[in-house]
Amino acid sequence: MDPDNKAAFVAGVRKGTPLIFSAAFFGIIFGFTGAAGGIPFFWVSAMSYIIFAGSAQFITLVLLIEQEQLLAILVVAVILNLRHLLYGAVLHDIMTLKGIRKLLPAYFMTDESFLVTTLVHKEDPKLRPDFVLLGAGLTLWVFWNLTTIAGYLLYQVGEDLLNLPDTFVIAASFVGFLLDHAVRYPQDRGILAISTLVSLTLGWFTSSSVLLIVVMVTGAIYAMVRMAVEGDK
Amino acid sequence: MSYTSTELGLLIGTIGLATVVIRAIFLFYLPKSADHPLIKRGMEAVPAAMLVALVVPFTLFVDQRIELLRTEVYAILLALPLMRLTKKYAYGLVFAVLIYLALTWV
Repeated sequence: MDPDNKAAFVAGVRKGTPLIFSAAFFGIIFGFTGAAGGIPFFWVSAMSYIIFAGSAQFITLVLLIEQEQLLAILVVAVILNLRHLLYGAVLHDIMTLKGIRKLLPAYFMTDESFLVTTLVHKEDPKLRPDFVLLGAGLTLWVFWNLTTIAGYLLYQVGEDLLNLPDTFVIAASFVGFLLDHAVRYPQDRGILAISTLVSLTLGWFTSSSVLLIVVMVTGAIYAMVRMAVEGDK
Repeated sequence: MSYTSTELGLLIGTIGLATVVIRAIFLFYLPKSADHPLIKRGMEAVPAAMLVALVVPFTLFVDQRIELLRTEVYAILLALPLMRLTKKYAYGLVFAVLIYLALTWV
């Protein structure tokens, strides 16, 4: 590997390393939830190396456990990943790889690796962002896949010791992030309020995948309308 | 499970492919119209709405009915101030599970 590319790759690995703890934490939860939901090991592991997108994987897994329709699962996962369009748009001008080679950083472009890439690029614009992203992404990929397997195996060992309701595990996994979001981004509290209202209303009538789609679309529309009315703040 | 291996394989493969395409599409080509602030704001709002959709119904509803007097609800509610005080927001599951186990044990 070219020394400059290697330096960028190593910078990505270094900057991405602290994030492996949360990746490992959720990798274990992911594997554990898959085992608890009765999804075969092969498919749980395959989700981690084929999809490699934490939240979309979780939704896919949860909806599979809930026996939802396959088309609905696909739609929810795709909607959830739409935010990655923005990441591509942000990185478009600073990427140096050409042609089909761009697919490699695209595969490794998660929320975390995107963040690392933009931070490193801000600190040292001379480092090639493609290789920073590959370094951070590969680091996270390795731990995400290893801990998915570990989580699945952990369930086989400790199933009787930790028999938790699936819906509780899901809600508890994300409640902290919801609280953090509400504290850190006061401008998003309107979105959270509208989404809560829609969730509480639809929860009486409909299944989880329909509810998820409607809530996400409603939240997005609300944010756009509010921005259009109030202007760019 | 009622899904066949073929269905699971196709689903996971399609989501994986769609994920790469979504991530790659603007790396390859960025139209000016996609750069609109309103569209960006709408996409930015999706994760926040998604968090609510994952937490609120899964916490409060059981079989499309609100049931508040449950150990799971108490555990999640009690975990909130703990996370706020310690600022360990990523550890919601750890806090909630420990509280759940303690309440179940009591």
